[in-house]
Amino acid sequence: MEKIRELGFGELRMHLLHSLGDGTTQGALHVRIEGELDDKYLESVVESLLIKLPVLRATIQKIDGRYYFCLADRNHHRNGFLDITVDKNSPNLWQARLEAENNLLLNSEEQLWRLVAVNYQSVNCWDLILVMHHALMDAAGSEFLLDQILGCLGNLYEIGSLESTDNVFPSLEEDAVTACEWEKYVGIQNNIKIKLASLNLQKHLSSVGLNERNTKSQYFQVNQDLVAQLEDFCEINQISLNSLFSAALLSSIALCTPDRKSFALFSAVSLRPLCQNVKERSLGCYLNVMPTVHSFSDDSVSSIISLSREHKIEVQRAFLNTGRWIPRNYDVAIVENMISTLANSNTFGNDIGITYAESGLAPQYGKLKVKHQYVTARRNIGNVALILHGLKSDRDIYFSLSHVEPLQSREWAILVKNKFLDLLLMINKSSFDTVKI
Amino acid sequence: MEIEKNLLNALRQSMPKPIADRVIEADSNLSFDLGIDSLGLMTLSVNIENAYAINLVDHVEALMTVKSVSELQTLIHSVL
Repeated sequence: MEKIRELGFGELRMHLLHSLGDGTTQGALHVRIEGELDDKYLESVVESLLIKLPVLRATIQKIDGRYYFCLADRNHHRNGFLDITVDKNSPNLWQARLEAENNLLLNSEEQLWRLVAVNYQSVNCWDLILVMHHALMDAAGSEFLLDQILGCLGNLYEIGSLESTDNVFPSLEEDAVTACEWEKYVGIQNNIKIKLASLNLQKHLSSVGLNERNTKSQYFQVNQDLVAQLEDFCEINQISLNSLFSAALLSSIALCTPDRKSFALFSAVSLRPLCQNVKERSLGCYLNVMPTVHSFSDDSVSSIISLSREHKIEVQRAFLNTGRWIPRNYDVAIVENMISTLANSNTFGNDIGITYAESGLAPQYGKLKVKHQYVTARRNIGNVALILHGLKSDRDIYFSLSHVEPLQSREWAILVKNKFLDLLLMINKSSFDTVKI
Repeated sequence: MEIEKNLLNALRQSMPKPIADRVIEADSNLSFDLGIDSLGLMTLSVNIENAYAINLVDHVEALMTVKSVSELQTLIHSVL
């Protein structure tokens, strides 16, 4: 094992959470492809990538009390990164397959990602499922990897000309222009805790042990016609699509949770632009979450516009107050202790998360067409009880909404999803009304 | 209005790379002309803070209403 660099604070936190056996920091990206799968060529491509991009062989090892990314030998575990299977079930059952694959937890000491290709017998489509440890890659990194693979399979790129990177990806903690000392970071985090605690937010449910929790997801698509209308609506009202979805999510949860008035929302933001050495598609994780607190008034269009604007301002404020500060150093024992206490925790964070991004994949790779893309993650532990992932691919948007049973009921989560879609349709209808006026 | 060099640098560092050499004028719109979206605005605010040694935390709402480069320069001077 070749030691490449010590884990940054965020990476260590993700690794320790993952080591609790819950897979909180593991996510999966599902891509459906129309066209023929050349499975032998796919094997060759993955093998070449493991040579061209040595960081794909990164593992996490504890050495002398500290944690390091280490490179596994070129031949180590070479077959463990790719699994090609033929599924006799209907291709419509891909959701169960996606969750089953994501429930197989990566062993960080062996590998930090794996790829599953699922071929179907009777139809001209197949699926790629990329299961990833977030310490190694965020959404941009995972799309870079899939882009390289699909580009080869679609005969757009030659295997020999695949992009190569350095042996190690940059660290957010070392590279961000806003990196700070540990003491400053701790002070900032303590201030957030005080502010959130003072809101006395009611928990959805509590007293359910970690091993009794199970993440469940719903997957749904917003088609390009509705997306185009929503984009027009955003432009007219000077809000972003991200903030509009955040407001619609907050409103739908509030409408389905009448006993609560205030909600904390954790919005994922990429800090890549703050890192000078990070390429647009480097591997590594450069995400942080911006906590904001909102109150719900009513589900009128004007209230949703106000909530969207409030979200946009509050995310910026959270970024300047807290989210930009990344600790460049840390005390291993304190972080270990902080995470280990969560293993026996029977309480649960009660709030909401959202990620929204435009896909880095092309709509088509030669004869291969990307039909849909969905992200899923396990949320059994963490600050958020319900998370919405949105991914815009070509002109459609693919959402997954994940909740944790038995902390939240399936019926409640379905109500939230339906209300979210109702609100988007209501907003869309209102934009038509505006045009008529 | 002449755009200050500090501000020009901060803007260029925050613009999307493919258009980072675009001409910046006082009436350039941050979003439409310079491609600075809400994520870019976060980077821009950090770059401005570093360039002018100021703190924008208490001026977020004003920052979010700024549309043009000249408005941004005016805001910076009100904070200085």
